[in-house]
Amino acid sequence: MTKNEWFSSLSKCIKSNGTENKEHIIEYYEELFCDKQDEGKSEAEILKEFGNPYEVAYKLNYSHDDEGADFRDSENSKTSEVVEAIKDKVKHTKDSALPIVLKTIFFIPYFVLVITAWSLMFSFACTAFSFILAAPVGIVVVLLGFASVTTIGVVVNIGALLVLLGLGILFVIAVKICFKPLVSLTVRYFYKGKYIK
Amino acid sequence: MDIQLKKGILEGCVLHVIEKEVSYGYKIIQDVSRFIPISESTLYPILKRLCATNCVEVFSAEHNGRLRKYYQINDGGRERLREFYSDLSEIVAVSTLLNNRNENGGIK
Repeated sequence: MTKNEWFSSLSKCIKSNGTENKEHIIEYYEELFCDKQDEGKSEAEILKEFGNPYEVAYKLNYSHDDEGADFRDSENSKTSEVVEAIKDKVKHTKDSALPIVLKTIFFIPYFVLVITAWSLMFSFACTAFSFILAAPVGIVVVLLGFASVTTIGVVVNIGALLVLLGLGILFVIAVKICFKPLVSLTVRYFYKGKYIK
Repeated sequence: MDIQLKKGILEGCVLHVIEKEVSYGYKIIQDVSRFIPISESTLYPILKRLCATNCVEVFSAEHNGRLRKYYQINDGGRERLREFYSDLSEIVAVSTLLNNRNENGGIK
């Protein structure tokens, strides 16, 4: 987070009971920033000392008007911090119409893509499971002589079942390889896509 | 710490620090931090209230080519500070009493 980002987040989240109040708070923090900078502190260090701008805004919002709300514990402000962060993001998205349009256009195909990928994955996993289960059972059945009477028949059947087993193992490997990327794809879409630019 | 108690103590500490010399935001934080932790967002409403209740005067002066706000105690602030000191000695008295009784096995 840069200085400008920090200050714009603070300014956005401070309740505007009169613009004068907001200006005073910004001035107050600008002055502190300069004083800390004069002391040789870096921008990142100073912003870290100031803390989360949403939390700062929350504390300031609830300290002017009513006396009892002063000096809340920081635990109390954790939830609001998140709420403010989300509100801020929502505001941010409202500001520009283009991303919203793009998101809506891409929302449905992307959603279908993710669901299809998961269904494919599921069917592959089921197939692999049934192949691996079927192969030994089939081999036992063939060896016991229920399926075929000729020696060639037995050999062919066992060969086919071994191929089935191999396919099953290959599918398991494929599912294992695809699982992680698919999870991250889904998470990125459903979680990050909404709140993080 | 109890909210009201902490509020009173922080306000008293800020007045105490300003009474020694005319001060500004960052310096007040540093000076008060020697007694009790205080954050920037806690100091702001205290300063605002001290100004509103006519305990402190504010003026801007140039420093390093920029304006800085300075806070100076006035008579109202000195009166408030005296009250704070006497409140504080009462608290200390109560605390000593409680500690003594603890040592004698009175209150556990």
